[in-house]
Amino acid sequence: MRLLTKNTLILLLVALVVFSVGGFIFYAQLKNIMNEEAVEALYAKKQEVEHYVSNNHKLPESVSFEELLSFAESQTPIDERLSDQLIYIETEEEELPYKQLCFNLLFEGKNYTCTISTSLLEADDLIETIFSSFAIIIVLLIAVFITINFLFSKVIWKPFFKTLKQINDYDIEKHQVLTIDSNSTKEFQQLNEAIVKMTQKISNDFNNLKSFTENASHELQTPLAIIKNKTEVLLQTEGLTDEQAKQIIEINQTASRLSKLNQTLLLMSKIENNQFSVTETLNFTQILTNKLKQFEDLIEMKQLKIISSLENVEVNFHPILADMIVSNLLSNAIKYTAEKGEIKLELTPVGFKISNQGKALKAGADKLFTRFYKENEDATSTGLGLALVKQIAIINKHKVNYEYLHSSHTFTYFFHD
Amino acid sequence: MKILLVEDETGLSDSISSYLKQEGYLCEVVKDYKSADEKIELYQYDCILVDINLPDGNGLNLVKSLKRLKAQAGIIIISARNAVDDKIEGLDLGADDYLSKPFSLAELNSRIKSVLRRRKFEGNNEILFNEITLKPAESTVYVKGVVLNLTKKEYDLILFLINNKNRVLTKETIAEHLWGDDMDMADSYDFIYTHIKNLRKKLMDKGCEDYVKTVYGMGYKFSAE
Repeated sequence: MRLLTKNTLILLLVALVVFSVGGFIFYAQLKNIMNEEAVEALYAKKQEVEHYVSNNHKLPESVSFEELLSFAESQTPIDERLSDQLIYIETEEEELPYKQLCFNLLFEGKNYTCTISTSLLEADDLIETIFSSFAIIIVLLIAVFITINFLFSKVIWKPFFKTLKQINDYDIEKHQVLTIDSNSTKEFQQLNEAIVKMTQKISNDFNNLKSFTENASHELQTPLAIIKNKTEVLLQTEGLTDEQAKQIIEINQTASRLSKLNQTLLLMSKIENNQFSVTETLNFTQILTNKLKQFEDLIEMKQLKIISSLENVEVNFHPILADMIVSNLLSNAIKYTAEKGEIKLELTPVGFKISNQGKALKAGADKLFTRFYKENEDATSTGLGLALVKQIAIINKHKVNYEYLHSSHTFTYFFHD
Repeated sequence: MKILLVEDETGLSDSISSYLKQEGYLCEVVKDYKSADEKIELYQYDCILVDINLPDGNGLNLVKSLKRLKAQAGIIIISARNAVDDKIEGLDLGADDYLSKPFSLAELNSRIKSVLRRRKFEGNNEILFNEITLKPAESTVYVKGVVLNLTKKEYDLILFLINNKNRVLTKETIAEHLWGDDMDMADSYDFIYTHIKNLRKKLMDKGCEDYVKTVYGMGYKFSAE
């Protein structure tokens, strides 16, 4: 729910409660005042009647409209009393509220009960009118308030949404410092300052970690170079036995493997950090044909048959990454195809497909793309090739698929997700 | 031939300098940027091997200094980084070649030789090995004056073998030289055998001795013995 909607709803709810309680109090007080007015009017009338009687020495005539006045003889004087009455009015054909005052009037030695009534209808009408105007004003007030809230919230929240957009657009890989314009709202100013501080810290940490990873990887290459060179020198020694030579070569090859592993891990972390996000238009057909040429010797040695159907396809890709996926998938196929086997290559604008005959996987297909997964206990494999392909697919918003059908392994790399 | 090696790792510089001395070069070793900078100001070298990461400076600045001095020396950069950007920057500055660690000494030797040939003889020299003559400028091989028809790979192979004559070269080293990094994906280096076999046959057909020796369990050696 938007903040504005939430705000408005709360406002409406509070307004409803405040105005209904307030309205009730207002109504009650108004009614009270009207009542008092009626009572005052009745007492004034009483004085008028008494005055009339003492001046004119006769009872005034009874009045049957508006302020009703009636006299009735009584044996004993009654106590003065005030009451609310409903009196049936013929013209209106209904009972209407009246305020009544009964009091004793002594006239020519006789007791008379004098009753004066005054209609409360007008007072009720007045209350109703006042109350409904009051309600209209309240509704208008709320409406105006909400409208203003909606209209001005756009202006007030503008710096907030600007900041939000900047945060969304912020890319740590671009090494830019987030600069946010200062603004007059204190809270937004605080938010902006906090964000700038936070991004600076993130950026520093990110760069530190990145350079640490890179430096650590690079530092490893020098001792590996020493191992390799020393074994190479050792290998030139006269009179080495076969067993000694074999051991030395194994040390050398293991150092190579370690170096390769290190480089691949470094590459993967670089890919993860989007350090290969720049793309260019590449002729993918050319890449595939070049790779096939490069692997020619391996293909010939295993007497593999390559069946390729390559359309002319251009894709936006980082050249190193494009080369890497083709290299990994192709060498994988060559490696796992038996001698004199077949490798099928297919390139369309949608993606490229590479399939080869072979035994079913021991583990599930989902494991195939995980780091350090090896189908065979193979010393020359790093177990990172397919994980690398998957990684490249993810950062380019591409997709890579594996399926095993009719004893054939098929990898499909799609240029979309 | 005088070579200056700028490398702070003793383990590495020892192996390199002893290998190069065996090849008949005069090899001087310095461990830091400052002494390297002094050396290149004072002396002339035929080839300079520079590590990029030095304790007191960036090796790439030495390349800049050499260019400023208009030195005739060939420059090979040695770096722990195989980062593409480093490579391009070094070559842009005027370095002749770039090797990333770890590298084999045979590979380094071969690169030094080709840099020296380009620099010193503008490629117009000949490499002689008994009855075999290599003319790098035209990428051709002659046996007793007769042209030997070789494929590109076979030519690269014989050049590499002769550059590192009398040394045992492992299959891995040869594969890496001929095919680059990609070939380490192959599960064996047996495919080299085909090329060795073909080269050997072509040489012997022209009446050459069998110089390509198989060193059992290790690799190959180009030798007259």
